[in-house]
Amino acid sequence: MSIAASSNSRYVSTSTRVPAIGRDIAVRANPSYRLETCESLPKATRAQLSTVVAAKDGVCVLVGTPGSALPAKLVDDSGARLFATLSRPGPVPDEVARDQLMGLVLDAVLEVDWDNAWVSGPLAYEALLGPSDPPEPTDRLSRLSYQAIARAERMPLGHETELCARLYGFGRLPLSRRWIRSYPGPDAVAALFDLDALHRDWVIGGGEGGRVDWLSFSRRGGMAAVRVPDLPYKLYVSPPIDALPAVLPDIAAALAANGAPHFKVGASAAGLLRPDKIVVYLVDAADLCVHARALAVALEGVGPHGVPFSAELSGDGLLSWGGDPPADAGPVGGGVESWRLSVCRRLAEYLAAAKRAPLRSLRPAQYALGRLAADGVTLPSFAPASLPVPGGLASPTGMS
Amino acid sequence: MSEFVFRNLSVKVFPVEGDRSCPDETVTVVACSPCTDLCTGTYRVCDDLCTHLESIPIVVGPYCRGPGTSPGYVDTQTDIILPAGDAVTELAALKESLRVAMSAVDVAEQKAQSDEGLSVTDGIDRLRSELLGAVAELDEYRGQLE
Repeated sequence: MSIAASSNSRYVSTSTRVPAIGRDIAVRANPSYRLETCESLPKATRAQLSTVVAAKDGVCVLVGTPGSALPAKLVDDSGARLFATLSRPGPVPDEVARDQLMGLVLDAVLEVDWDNAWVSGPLAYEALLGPSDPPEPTDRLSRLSYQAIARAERMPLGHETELCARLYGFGRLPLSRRWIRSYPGPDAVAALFDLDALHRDWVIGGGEGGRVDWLSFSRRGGMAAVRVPDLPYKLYVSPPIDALPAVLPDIAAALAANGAPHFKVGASAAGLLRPDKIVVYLVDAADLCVHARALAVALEGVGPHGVPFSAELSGDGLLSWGGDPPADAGPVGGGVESWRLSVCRRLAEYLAAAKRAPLRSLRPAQYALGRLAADGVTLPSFAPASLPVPGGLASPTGMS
Repeated sequence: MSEFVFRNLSVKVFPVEGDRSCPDETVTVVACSPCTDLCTGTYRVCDDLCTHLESIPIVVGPYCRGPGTSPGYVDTQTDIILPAGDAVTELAALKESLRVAMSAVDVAEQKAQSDEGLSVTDGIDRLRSELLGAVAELDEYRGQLE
């Protein structure tokens, strides 16, 4: 359980990923937040809130004061009581564990008195933990991921959404006319496969919600009933776009031969120019190993594109893995996040917060990576620490 | 030990009180290239003209985030004006933000029309020039990395 995840923060004292703060320190509720009950909000704002949560009486939210740039937060009863109690500075309440306290401080809900100044968020991280470099990248994908973060750090962008888009899109190839002409839509992509074999082995689906971003393939037979949410492992297959006509039939055949339950392929040029153009959903680490080995054979000699923010499997970025976070891991009302989107969204939030803070020695990237590690993302591989690492292939090492 | 839940909301919520005005009173339209980002999976906001106008109605914010930023909107289904306040004032502000956004559309439209008049060789020359600019930018970026 993460204690410091910025958007799904259940501050339960079960983890020690984040160093704890001593109990002898003075704390207070962040005065840049105001605790509001739903009934105290303007009618229109309440209507706004009701689009993502049951905005009934008694529901509490933390609302950032103008200029604070703090995200609004939904608060449960115990959180509201804690915040109200600490509206006057005082010692750490008994019901707050030391590691919980650190999570609350890093997420800027509470502030701590440090050297005669109240600090939270990146400033508190700098004061309490100091700058420390993350583990060095060990393979091509971790280097790509670190490059993406370094670039986002330098960008004159302060808004989380923009930063997240840059991080998530890192490594995409330009959508040129050549590729739009080659792959205008799903039919052109489907035509790359051996259609007879495809229809024999797979049920083909279109996009979700009327959009056709992906061509989805579900295994015929017993595994057809397995739903994607029940498949926690993702295997990313990342050949270059110009290799797809040669390799897609082989990929589909290898997956069918080894019983993969579900995979998807970008449904147009834009999707095929993504690094994560082919994603296989699998049930466990052993299954992932089986398919990765089969694909490594099928793709021998094929160069890699490479998926940033996924964990290396093949040593060159051709095959990598991740695991989707819980369905409610993202912001309330924000929809289900994929693994890479979850990582990028959190990195963007941390980078944006650090860019806004008057830090002295801590760099935004150091803060963002430190927080991400505290959230349960293994560095430098960007593998989910909550899932067993696939054995027999490159194992992520470093901090988590 | 207790459990405390503080979860970020995907919508922005106005403070009950406080300054809701846009601090950047002198917004200017910037002519910029259409967005070429593939937005699947990331953006709730897709802003092809770089006006920073939100494309979904639930996003409002009290702060100016750049040229053309709309401080609010009228929900076309409920006719609720957001942010709540004096309707005439809010509508005037919304009209002004629409005017700014339309100006950005005009800029893009004019650019598109001028492109249509280009000969093939002119177009190639311009593309070449833009590519060289991009290469120079890449070189600069590489230099920063070294």
